[in-house]
Amino acid sequence: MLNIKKEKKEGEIKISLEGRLDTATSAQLDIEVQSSLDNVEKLIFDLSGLEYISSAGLRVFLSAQKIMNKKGSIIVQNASEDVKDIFEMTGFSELFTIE
Amino acid sequence: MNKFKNKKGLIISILHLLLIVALIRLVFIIGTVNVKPVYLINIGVAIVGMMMGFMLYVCCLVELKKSGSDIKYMIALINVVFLALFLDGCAWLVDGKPALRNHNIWVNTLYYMCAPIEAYFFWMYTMTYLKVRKSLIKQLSVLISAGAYIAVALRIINVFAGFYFTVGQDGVYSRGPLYLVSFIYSYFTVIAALVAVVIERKYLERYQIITFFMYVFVPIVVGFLTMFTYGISCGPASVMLVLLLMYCVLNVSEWRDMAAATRDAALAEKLQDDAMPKDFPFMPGRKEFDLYAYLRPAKEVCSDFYDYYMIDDENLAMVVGDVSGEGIEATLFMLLSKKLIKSALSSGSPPEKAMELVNNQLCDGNTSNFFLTVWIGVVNLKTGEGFSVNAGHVHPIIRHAGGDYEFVFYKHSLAAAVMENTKYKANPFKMEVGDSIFVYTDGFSEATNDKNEFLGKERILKIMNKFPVANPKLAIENALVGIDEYIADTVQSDDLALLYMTYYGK
Repeated sequence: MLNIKKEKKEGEIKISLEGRLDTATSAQLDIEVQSSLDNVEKLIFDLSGLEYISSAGLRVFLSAQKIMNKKGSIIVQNASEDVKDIFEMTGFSELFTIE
Repeated sequence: MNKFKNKKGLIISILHLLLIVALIRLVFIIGTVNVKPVYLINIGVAIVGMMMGFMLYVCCLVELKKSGSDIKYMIALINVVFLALFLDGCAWLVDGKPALRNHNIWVNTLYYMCAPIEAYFFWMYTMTYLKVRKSLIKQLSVLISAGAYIAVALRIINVFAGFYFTVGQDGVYSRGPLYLVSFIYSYFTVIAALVAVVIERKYLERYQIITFFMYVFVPIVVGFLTMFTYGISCGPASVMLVLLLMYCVLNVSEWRDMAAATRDAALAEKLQDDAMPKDFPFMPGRKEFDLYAYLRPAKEVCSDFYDYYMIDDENLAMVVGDVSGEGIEATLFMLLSKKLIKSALSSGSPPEKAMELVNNQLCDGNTSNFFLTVWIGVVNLKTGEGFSVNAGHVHPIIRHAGGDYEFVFYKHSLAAAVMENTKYKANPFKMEVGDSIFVYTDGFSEATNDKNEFLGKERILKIMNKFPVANPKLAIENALVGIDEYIADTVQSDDLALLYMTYYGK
């Protein structure tokens, strides 16, 4: 299960995730992310409710990064230690600002 | 479960045959003295239709057994239409016979029930075929199944109220004032199914769409053509004919796709199997080291790999990697990555330079956003010194001679195929005599038990330290036992690659 919440402001979108981001749920997030990046310069992921991220989940971050790379930045907030570990281990922590 | 299904299939097939024989016998028992010739045609058509239904049913059973595909609603449809044909045949026989008036009533009541049930199964079959998962459709499905119950209930009430049809004291069937109302549910449901077909049309071939529409229009056209011949009824038989068509067009064309997918998977499986070296013991003449590796895919094709080879007379390369993503595409990406790494290392590039080269090649045209996490180690067998690169891969494990297993933590480089021109860091290491390196993929650390919990780092060390032997094959077998005990009855969800090397020195 994954709950996705989106808050859009001028040029900025915050996507909050709650649950597990795995093979089953990543397709849903990918659609949500891809469809909401128009006119966005700052993409914020609030991961305070995220328990787990699989490699399929990381691919969603990767495709978002490829879009945002040209026009803005991605900020990852409130990731748990386990989720942070996965970002560190895969080196994805280099791609975004992790707060 | 399967045995039960087989039995059920056999019983229903026998029932089909018995009903066909029963209808033929009834013709002789009741006699054809007062039956109009045109009714006899109807009965003949019903019998042929039933035979067609029987054959179709047997075909479906065979398919169900062979492919396990989801055709239970198709089978249900066939059975209902079969029953409708039988009842239609009976209705013509008993009509106009005062002595058989009660039989006439229940036969027609059951016959009337077939239409809404047919419509319901057609809806369910269509939804399963289209694999519709929209929540609106799910709500509509609930409504439609409720509607089917109401329609059936109304037909029972009709026995007493006679608004759809009545059977007079002379045993003659006649339509009631609300006869046409009895079609509302069936038409609504079938049209709703066709609307869903139209909405989902981009996932369907044109011939598939036409086939769905024929289910509705063939019986209408047949009805129109026979309208001018009084008393002829070919409706149920034409529905059975369309079912035959649907079965052939929709299901057989699915088999073809499935057969293609199975063949593709078998080819990829063969490629992947051939690509993993399995020459154990590897170079038994070299006394400086021993090595063992193992790959266990979760499904037929997998995206984990291991590799090992001598770069030159002194340097041994070891590689363990995992491509994110599933299916044949990921397997091909994995095979490509594996070969690119081997080619770069074999041409003499140090591991970090080799990774740079491979990464840029993998980034080129990677529109599917695959990425590769990989550990590469190159060790000089003379000195035990070497370099490793960790591109986003899990933490390797080492065991010093006589010691316990422990993780090696250092800052990882970015996974490969993510960003062009990524720089990779080489981590120097030195193996002493009796030291071992154990590299795995996340199929080990994320092996999942029935409570949906990961095996995790601590349990990995616990499993490995249970038998801290420095024998690569035994150590990997021990790891596999540990994983299997942990996942117990759950299915292995992720691929698993393991590589273990012990250094004995000169």
